[in-house]
Amino acid sequence: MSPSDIVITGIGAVTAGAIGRTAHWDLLQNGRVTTSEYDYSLKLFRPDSHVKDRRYLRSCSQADGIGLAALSGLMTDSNYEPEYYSPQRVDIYTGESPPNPQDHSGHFEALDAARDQHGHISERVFGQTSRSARPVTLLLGLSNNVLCYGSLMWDARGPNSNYTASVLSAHLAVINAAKRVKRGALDLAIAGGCSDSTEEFRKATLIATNTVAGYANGTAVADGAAFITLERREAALARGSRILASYMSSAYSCDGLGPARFDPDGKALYDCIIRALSAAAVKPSEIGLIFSGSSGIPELDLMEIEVLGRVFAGAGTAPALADTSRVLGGLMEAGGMLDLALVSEFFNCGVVPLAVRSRINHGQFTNNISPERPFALALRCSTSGEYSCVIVKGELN
Amino acid sequence: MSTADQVRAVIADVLFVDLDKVIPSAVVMADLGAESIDFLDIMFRLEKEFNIKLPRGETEQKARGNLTEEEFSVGGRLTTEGLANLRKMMPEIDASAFKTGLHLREIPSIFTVETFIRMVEQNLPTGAQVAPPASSEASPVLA
Amino acid sequence: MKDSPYPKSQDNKPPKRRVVVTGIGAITPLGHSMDTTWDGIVNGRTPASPIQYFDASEFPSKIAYQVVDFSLSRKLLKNGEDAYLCESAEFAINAAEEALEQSRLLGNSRPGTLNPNRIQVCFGMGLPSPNIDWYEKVFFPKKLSHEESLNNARILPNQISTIIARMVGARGGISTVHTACASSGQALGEAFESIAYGDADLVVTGGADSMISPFYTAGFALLGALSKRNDAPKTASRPFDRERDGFVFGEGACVLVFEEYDHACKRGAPILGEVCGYGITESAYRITDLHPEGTGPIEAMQMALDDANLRPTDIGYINAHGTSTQLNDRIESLAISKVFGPSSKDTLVSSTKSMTGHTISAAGALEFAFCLLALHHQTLPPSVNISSFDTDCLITLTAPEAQARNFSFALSNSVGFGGSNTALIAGRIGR
Repeated sequence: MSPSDIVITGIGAVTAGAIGRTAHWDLLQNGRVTTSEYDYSLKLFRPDSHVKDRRYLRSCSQADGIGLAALSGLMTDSNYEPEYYSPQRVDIYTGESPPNPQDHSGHFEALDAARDQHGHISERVFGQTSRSARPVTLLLGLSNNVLCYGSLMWDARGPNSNYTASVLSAHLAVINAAKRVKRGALDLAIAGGCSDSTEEFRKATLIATNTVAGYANGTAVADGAAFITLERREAALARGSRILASYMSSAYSCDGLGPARFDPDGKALYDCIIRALSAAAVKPSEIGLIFSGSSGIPELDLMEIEVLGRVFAGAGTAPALADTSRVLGGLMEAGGMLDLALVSEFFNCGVVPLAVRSRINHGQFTNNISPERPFALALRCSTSGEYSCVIVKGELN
Repeated sequence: MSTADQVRAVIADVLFVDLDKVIPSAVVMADLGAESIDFLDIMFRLEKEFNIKLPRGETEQKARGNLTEEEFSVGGRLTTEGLANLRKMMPEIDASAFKTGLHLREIPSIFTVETFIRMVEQNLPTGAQVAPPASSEASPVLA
Repeated sequence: MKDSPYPKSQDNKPPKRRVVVTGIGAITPLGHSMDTTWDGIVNGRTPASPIQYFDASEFPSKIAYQVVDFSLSRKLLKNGEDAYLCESAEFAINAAEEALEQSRLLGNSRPGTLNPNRIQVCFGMGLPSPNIDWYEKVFFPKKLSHEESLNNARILPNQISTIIARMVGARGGISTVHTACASSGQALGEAFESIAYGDADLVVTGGADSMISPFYTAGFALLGALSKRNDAPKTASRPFDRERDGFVFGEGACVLVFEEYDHACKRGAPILGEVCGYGITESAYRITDLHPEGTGPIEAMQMALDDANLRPTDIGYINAHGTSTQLNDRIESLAISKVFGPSSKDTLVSSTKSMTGHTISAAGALEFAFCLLALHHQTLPPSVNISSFDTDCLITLTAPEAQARNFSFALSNSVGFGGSNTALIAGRIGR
């Protein structure tokens, strides 16, 4: 099997700006540039009309609902019928945020009723009042719900996993799913993630730990979900599927410095990129487009651009650089999927749309995307010093 | 809205199914796709809706009546007498549901929408207090 | 199984490298090290007691297996890192230190030749388990101070993995997994595959969890999943007993060092056992109900056997998921009987949750460690708290006391809430 034998055949995506593949490409072409004033919340999103079988929403949190809406959209986009492959050879890999307080709000009444005159909640009284809380409340807070309901929706009974790995989650899902497809252990992999990080409490925690930026011109944290399908090219063509891009390779690495710390020398990120290039047998000079990780934390973003400068120092004409988080916001566990699925749109457009040009390009990189170099490199970077890189190839018209 | 319609609406809402499918004779698990956790949710929502307390875990005792444990079930499976008692207690359920060899834990699987309507009616303040067919077996015991 | 009318992919499985275990550490209700924990297992201890962390006197279930007299080891911690540690993450720090120490990865015993790019961390972390104060802050006064928000960093599950990565000097990447009760079974499986298929030479893996908090105690009780034998905590967790009535919370952490065989030999690391096979499936049946035929767990066990190239009769011992709920034990024993034959005498079964309680996201790692130690000591863990074996379960339990047995392979099951099923096979070294 050659590296380009795995293909991306669909995407389902729900963000505050758009729903679905073509709407997202429109958004990236015309969208507003990120400021934190822009509302990235999907708090008011009603998944009911987007989810194939509303029953799946029975015990779902808002993040789960967004995720299932994206998975329903994916089924349409990839033109997939659950009967197509054996269920045992279909798998699902998700990234999902840990529960936020809203997911526990089914116990709000019981907690409120257990407060004394000073406002303190009595554990003893809560032991009584909680007995009349809604029984399924617990289920809302489980962070593998999308995996569970998604597998029901897709009848996916093969290998699976769920990553609670912050901004790398969806990339880790893709990396592990693609490994299985590559080994021939299965026929179809669904991978991606969902997040409801604009919830006030969670956002405050993310800002306090420097995971996301808390100031106006940083990358604003966003709610959303995005999942892609990965298949073998031959099988995808046999079922008449559209091919969005070829999946080439991936790698991940870490600085190993502990929580909320990354190494400004960027060695681990550099190694990660080099490993992914080498696994794909792609030279830096063949990369036409880079999707930056762009955490919104200035020091990390500068390190990232400096590392990219080193990787592409001897690559002849510089590749183009795009930053989709300028329009999509920081999608946390859902981040990075639209980069992979829309890569061909970028190549066929030939230029990075104004709205998603990198803020910190410094002139090393261009905005022109050369069809002569149809490979793209997509990064995720976290302030805890965790990095991932996926290389995809655009399908040229 | 009648009590029956209110109960139907709650069940439709909990299970995300169309109201017109929630007819009194519909078997809640087989026809409406409920699983055991939904029984807990239906009971919870009915209690809120009608501001009543539905007793749990009494189907077995009530159905057993004067029978000894051995006369009622063997190895968890209902005896002929046990089945007859249960059937008498749940007249709304189709006779064919009371199959020989029915296991105690399978009792919730024969509940119909009507079972819940009856349960609510019997527990409304004005209603007669007859045997409520709720079962501890409706509690899912999880992985 | 329905076959696809379309061309099937070739099985491209590259040859697998051998994966061995070179370090194990544990913090459990039975002890503050792997050795003391194993000692508790062999002696059939059941240290459950009334919940001490909070006033559980009015909760329907008031008992748990708790880690007592624990103190966080600061030997390998850096300033400020404890801000990121919830209780179960603290357990993981001590367990990691023990595992790394045993594997000779710390201080002077660490060889200078290790390539950090070939070292990874793959950890199964539980959900944050907030105490009652958290709800006061979150639900009632609205605005949190910066310090309070930073304090809530404890709820970010990936942070423990970054600390472990620093402790072991890993630069090959970190992944943090959560699939409820299958979390650490899955983390171990992914660690195993990472080494077997050449992505890493050494992976620090494991799991940690504690759900003994007001929210989860109330929540699981509402689902009818917790034992209500409040008057007899020590005999409340009774997997495969006819009178079982739910699980009892446990808590703890277990950390293992997985390593490629030659890599371990070259650096003279202790080799405690081998990881031979991994199976992973999704039941895709219901949210909480298990498939009546046990298909998901059956396929996971078969996949693990295929992966290890073994026959069912090669497995001498199964450490079952065995939660002590009516449903799990009935369906899991059905699944075991379908794969290994009804009441097979070749393959004895026990659930050590009678002695540790249900450690949720730590269970897969801890129970795989029990398999390794059972093989190493050629001793089967006892089946305790069985007063009346549920004969509907077509399995043969291990004896009520620990028993010597010659066997070469053991299998550990995990069945997760949400449908993820894992099976891991451990092998004895020098078999």
